[in-house]
Amino acid sequence: MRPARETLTLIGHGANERLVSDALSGNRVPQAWLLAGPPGVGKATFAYRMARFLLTGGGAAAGPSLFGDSAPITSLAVNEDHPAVRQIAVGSHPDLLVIEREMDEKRDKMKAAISVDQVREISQFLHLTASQGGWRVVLIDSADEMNVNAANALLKILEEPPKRALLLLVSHTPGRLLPTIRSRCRLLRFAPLLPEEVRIAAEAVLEGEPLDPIALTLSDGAPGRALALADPDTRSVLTDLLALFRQAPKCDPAAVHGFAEKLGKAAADAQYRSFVTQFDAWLMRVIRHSARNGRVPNDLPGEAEAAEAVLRAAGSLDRLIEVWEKNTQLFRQTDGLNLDRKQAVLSALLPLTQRL
Amino acid sequence: MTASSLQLPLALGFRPALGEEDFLITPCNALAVAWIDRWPDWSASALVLNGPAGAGKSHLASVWAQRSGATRARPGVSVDLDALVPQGARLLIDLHAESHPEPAAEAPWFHLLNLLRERKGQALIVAREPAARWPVRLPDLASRLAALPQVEISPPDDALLSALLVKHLADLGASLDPAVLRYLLPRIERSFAAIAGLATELNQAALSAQKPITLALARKVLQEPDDAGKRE
Amino acid sequence: MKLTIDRAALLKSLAHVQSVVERRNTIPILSNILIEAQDGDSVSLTATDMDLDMVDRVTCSVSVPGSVTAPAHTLYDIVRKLPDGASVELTSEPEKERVTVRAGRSTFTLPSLPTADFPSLASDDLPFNFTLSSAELKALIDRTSFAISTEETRYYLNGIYLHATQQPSGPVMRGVATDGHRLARVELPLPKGAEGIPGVIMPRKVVLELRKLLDESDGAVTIGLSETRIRLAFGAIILSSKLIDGTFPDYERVIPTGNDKVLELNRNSFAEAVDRVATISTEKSRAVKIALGTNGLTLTAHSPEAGSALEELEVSYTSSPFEIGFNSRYLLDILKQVQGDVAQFIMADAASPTVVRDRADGSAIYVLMPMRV
Repeated sequence: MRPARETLTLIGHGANERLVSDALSGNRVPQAWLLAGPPGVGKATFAYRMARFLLTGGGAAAGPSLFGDSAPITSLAVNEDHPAVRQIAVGSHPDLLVIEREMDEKRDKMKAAISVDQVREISQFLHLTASQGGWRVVLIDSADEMNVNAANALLKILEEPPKRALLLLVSHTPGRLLPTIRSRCRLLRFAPLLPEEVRIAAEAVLEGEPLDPIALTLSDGAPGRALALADPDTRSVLTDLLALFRQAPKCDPAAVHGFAEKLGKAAADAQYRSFVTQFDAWLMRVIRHSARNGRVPNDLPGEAEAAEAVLRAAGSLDRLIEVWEKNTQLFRQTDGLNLDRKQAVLSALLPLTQRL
Repeated sequence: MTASSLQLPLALGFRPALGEEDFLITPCNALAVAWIDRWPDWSASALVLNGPAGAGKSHLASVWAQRSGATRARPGVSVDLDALVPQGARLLIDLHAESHPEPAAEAPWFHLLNLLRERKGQALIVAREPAARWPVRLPDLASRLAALPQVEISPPDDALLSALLVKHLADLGASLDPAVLRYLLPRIERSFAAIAGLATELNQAALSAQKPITLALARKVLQEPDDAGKRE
Repeated sequence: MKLTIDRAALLKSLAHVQSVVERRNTIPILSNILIEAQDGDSVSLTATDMDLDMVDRVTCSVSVPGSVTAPAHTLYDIVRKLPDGASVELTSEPEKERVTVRAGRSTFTLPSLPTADFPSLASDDLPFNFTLSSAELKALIDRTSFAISTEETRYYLNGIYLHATQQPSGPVMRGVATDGHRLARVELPLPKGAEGIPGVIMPRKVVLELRKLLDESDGAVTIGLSETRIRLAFGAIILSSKLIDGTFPDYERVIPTGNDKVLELNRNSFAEAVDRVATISTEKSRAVKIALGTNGLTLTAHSPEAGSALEELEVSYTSSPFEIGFNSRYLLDILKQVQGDVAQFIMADAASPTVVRDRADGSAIYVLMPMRV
């Protein structure tokens, strides 16, 4: 599967492309951008596209230039043979710094948050000149994962970024960022794509293989989500979850425990992550459809039945929304404070699988 | 030569940033900025800009001088006023720390204001006190001064205090953490001069210790006990 | 690619470039060096940490030109352990993404990454080019680098400020470093081609790396400069680096010109005395006190734990008696750079900057802030 840093084609998000092109054509380029939208919709892909454009010499006349008479920029597309394209894809471009959650080597899993030390790396990077004499680009993927200290440290950098430096913040939940961070960034909103666009974007990554129609239906306009659901392992996490929900509110406690136990194991890091994402996204889907027309479509086998059962267990739609919000917070805390994952999964499932 | 030995720091610094984009606009100076922006539409041959020490009068005046191409002038007995005020002259008269013109300069001042009027010149007069309140002996000068439009920069508000502290420190090459700023703000004297002094002290303490300006260092500079500010 | 190279030559070159490669790298290609053998009889080895690049060229025999990347530290360890006098054969098999090292009866196969993944080095011509002798550059670094600050919030002090300026004696190039307690300024005649260079701050990392390598070089150093980049070429090595993106302070104003108390002393005997007396001063402050009077100089130190020390020295001093404290380490750092026999201390009072210089050589000047003791 091709990651965001390698994806050269842009599907959808044309308005954002125009917005950024216009901004880069102007004399005062906003130096901090907040790319906000649902997970998997293409924010990071777009951020890499911006970085690639600037680091291959695009927008050279932009910035605080004395000669404002160059032709306006109309597209962020680049020549794919440019050496920078390859270096950006493998992470070896000297003028691009990508900040992501790091691997915790001792525990052999991803760290829960972006730390203040990682944000300090940004300062150090920006205190040196650009290797190629042009722009320096910092990409934070995602800004939601910064802990409090990291966010505060970033705030200081956003206050006065050096000339010819661009900060790109990817965020799935911009509402939870510090308001002072939001207010210092130019906002780029990423809306869900049309189903046809999702298919094209996903199939470009699948390199010709057709996208599973169910994955497309469940994607909610996010190619990244379609691709995740096209993956059999992820899909089985969701299918297992729905099978469990169909028994609600009279689930066998042993089955619920077994389910949580499996995901709580240290070796099941990937499954746990995909459970958290799928659980969150599916409840969101139930809430949206129920609020709109009172019914959840049967896109996955037994989906409608599972949705009804969950609503019954929760008691009402309002109550389900409450549970969903609580769970999002619970999973964040579990990561942040390194709490027991089995307990977290159990606490998330109990109000939806058993009538208390 | 014990624990009390203290390494003194070099007085490292930068030329203060006095460009137009470096001027911090807040409610207490917005009126003065508006007058400067309105130039040349001043409806008078001179404008008096006054405010407390360190309020940014000279900074704002130099922004105006940049825009208008004004020359710096100081009326006095030995000054050739005729040469100083050509047709359409633009003058910047900054009294700096002096509270008002000395008695011997009063006649040249009067003459200068007349010349400005005759020759369609304009001047920006910068002083701490409004010109109408200067203890001038020459009645003609006193009435001329009283008739001039006058704008004041008022004492700093919180927003300006914090922005100024950050700017003064930046001029000294030091940076300030938002958390330290939040600690300092309710504890500092609300005056322009005090802010500049505090910036110097913080910078010196940091240079002396070869450390960033931390909360602990700020406490030491304010001479507060170590547990102060823990509530923040 | 296929080439044969003398083990000693390869080892020396690998020792140079691998020092740039960081031990821990999350980006795999950065653990590798780039080996490029064009037609002819030499190969170039390149390493980078993305801020600093080093290229070293070594003589070898190339049978098939080409290029490849190989893990730097592993390759270095292998070559280090090969017997002296061995001839090493390096072969790349790009399609299998690996590189083979053969020497005598040993064969190693190492993983390789595509050369296109390797960060491209800025190769465009730099606008300013000039030459310094290796000795000049060494002196410039030695006399300033000890004063480079390591405090990161004042990042603009984390290097040597290099700039050109006009002096009564003619145009000069200056290297300046300060950590806020002391400042060192070295001046040399402006080399041809350096007229109008931008003032740049050379990061500490490149200064240290360069200084190490200059020990093996005594020829000329060709320096290329732009506002964002410095390139230093000497012998077979090209070192190139990003610069610090900051403004160096207006340092002239901390160099006093009106100091009137002149103390002249023998550099060696003073340094030895400071070193001896400082044994007593506290580890943290390292303070020593200098009392100057008509009878000469008295050096003292005391600490509540370690006791006290006193030593007297004959010096040349005719101004009014006074006392001043200094950090002994700072005194020794400066005295170490004074080449002549006599060091001059030009002072004002116990709270103002003191100027130190070599009486025989005006090219370097040091400013030292006292300690309040």
